[in-house]
Amino acid sequence: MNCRRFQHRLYEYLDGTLSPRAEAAAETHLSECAACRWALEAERRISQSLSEQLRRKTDFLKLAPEVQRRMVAALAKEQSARESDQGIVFFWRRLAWPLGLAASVLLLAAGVFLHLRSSRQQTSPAQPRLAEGEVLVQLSYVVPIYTFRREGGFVIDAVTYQTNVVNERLPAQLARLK
Amino acid sequence: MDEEQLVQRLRSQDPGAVQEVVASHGDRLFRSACLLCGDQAEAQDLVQETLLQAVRSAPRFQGRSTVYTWLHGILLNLTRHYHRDRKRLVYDEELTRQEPAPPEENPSRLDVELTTGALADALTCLSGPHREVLILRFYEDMKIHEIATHLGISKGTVKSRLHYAIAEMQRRLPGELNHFGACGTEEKAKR
Repeated sequence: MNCRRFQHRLYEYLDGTLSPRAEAAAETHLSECAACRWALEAERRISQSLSEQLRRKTDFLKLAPEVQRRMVAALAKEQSARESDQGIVFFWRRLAWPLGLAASVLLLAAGVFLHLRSSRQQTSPAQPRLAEGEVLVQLSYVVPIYTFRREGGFVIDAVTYQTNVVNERLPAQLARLK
Repeated sequence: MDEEQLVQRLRSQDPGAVQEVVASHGDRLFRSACLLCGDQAEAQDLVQETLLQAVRSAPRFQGRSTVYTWLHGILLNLTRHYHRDRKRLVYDEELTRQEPAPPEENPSRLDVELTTGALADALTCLSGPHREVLILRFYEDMKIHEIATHLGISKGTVKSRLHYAIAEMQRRLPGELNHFGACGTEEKAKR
């Protein structure tokens, strides 16, 4: 082990956390190197001095008794808040089943009603009311629709047809004449 | 009492367990907090918040460290937030260009003890990360690998921060810490 390596591991040497092999190498180096012995001793003294000074600076300090009281009070407050939250959750949880069931029944009833109404409308289309002597005439006609669109340098046309239906009430005599 | 049982009782927020934790670790945590933040009133608030958070997070504590180390980890996190908030506050004050608040008329004797003297000045001059490492090493008597685990940094970073912090303390406390000459004695001779 050389000086640089020893200095790099000085703290671990002081802590006694080097491997047995590294520690033996450090001991050998220390026995041969006065500068590293000096550095080690300096580090020990600084450690001791700083530890003593820091302790002396704070040894008289005590945690105020009210801190404990404030803590216990804060925890009690949190506990009661949690319990009241749990109470609200329990209340809603108790109501959840009946409310859910009622909502399902309502939804089902609404669905059945809408279905029945729409099927009745499909099976019996509204018939125009006819006065006496009138007949219903249904006319259907087709309207051609021309469209033009541009694609590059071409103009393309297309024709589609739309069928319109007209229901008219005509007097029966007029209808027979036609 | 066994620490595991104590943690178990903390999980159920047993007031007796809270009292035991305060009795066994409160003063030590408070002293460490005082060194970390340099203010007694703030240190008390930090310790109180540390203990509250410990009770809240007790179900997540897996017992991989001692209770004190766990508590100290929470304290360190809170202290970092405290330093960040304080920096922000100073910045805001600068923006509003207000006069600095006058010092307390009658600071307590304990406050004077804590915040005056060369050691307090030297600690105040260190940055947060350097102060943390110094206090963990020399006040909490932690080994290098323990500090690394506690702070979540590499052993190399711990050693370099420690080296810098000690050099800075030696520079600022030449009389107390410089046992072998070098720059400290030079400064002393100049004085």
